[in-house]
Amino acid sequence: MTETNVCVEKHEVIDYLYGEGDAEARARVEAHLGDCAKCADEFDGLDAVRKRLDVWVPPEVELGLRVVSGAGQTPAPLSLWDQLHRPLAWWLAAAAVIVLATAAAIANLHIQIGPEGIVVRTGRGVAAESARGAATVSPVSDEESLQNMRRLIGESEQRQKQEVADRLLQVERQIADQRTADLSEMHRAFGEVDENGADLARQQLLDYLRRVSTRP
Amino acid sequence: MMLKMQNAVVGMQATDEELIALSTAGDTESFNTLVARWERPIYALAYRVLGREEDARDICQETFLRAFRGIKGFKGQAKFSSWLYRIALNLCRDWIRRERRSPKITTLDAETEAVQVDNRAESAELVAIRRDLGRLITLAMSTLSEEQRTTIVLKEYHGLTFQEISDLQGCPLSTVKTRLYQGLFSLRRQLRRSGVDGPANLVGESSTSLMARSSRKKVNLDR
Repeated sequence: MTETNVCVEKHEVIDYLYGEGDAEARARVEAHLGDCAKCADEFDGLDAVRKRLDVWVPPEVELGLRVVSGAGQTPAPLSLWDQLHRPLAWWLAAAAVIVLATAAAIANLHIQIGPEGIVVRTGRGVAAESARGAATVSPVSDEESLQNMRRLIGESEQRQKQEVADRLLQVERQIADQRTADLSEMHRAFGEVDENGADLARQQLLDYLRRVSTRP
Repeated sequence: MMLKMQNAVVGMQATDEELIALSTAGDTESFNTLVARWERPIYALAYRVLGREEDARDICQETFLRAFRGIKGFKGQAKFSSWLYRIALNLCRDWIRRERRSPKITTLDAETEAVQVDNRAESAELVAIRRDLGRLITLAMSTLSEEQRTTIVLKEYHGLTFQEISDLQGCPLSTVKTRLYQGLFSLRRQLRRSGVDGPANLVGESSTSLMARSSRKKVNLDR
């Protein structure tokens, strides 16, 4: 029944050990164990191992896990890399504003052929003019639309600049905090090395410094 | 307040299936009841497979986070516990592959706390024997292959059927039984080398000799 001397199939032994398998197979194994001292010894050995396993217990820990509402959808915190690239979103927003403004301007395109030649008008003025049904000049000129667009773009740029400045300041602060934490850890570790004078601790410190120096 | 307590009691009495139905409908508290019910077994599974407390805790947390995110996709084809075991074991496997290392043996001090004393009336010697035997079993388990260890853990500590283990590990029933046999056989050999053999009678095993053997084996097996 050992790995080198198998009288009974392993799966039958396992079934018998765990009280499973059909009655016929169980009876066969039982009869064999009664006749074969070697197999009986092996079986008793495996059974004894099983009984000893109950002393292997994981450490008691306070888990207390809880899912808070919407935790599954909570986005992960932004990494440093993401934060640096976030201004890109502002550029995209600015581009979208320009596209929208342009679209609004050409939405009311009006072309007129007359004695003055070809006259092309765009913007809200055309719509207003059409609504009034009069041949008066639009009160909102192209110049005004252009000014509005410029104002919008200017405001957007201003916001982007502010956002970039805020992000850079934040990154600078994070780097400074990390540096302070690393320095205090180094001081603490140096203290431990001085106290113990252990080569092992010195080696661990060197490893730590190596890791710190490779951090981005 | 009273209503909340009543809900909590009702929640604890509800079956897994009832709680899953409520969770799927968006009731987070029902899911938390499931977490409270299963967090300990999942943690124990991860601890015994990985051998590291901190990592086992992380795996446990990640298991429930994934379960929460995927609860709507759980259609009840298997038991909820089997589903959780599958998630946890996949995470453990990923962890082992990522770290490219075998489960690490915890320090002796940590292991000392790992042995629970169920019976407060046990004599000091018996407690010491259990503790030392726990260390030896920890060491012996760490020498098994991941598959053998996981099979033994699922069968011995979680009471899964051979078929359930077969489904979880994606292997035939015969493979499960072979892993179990070989794992137990190997454990017996390791324990015998440590001087632990014969019928499982704790009183008959000397604490001091176990302790001495335990230290000796640690030098040999610790990685």
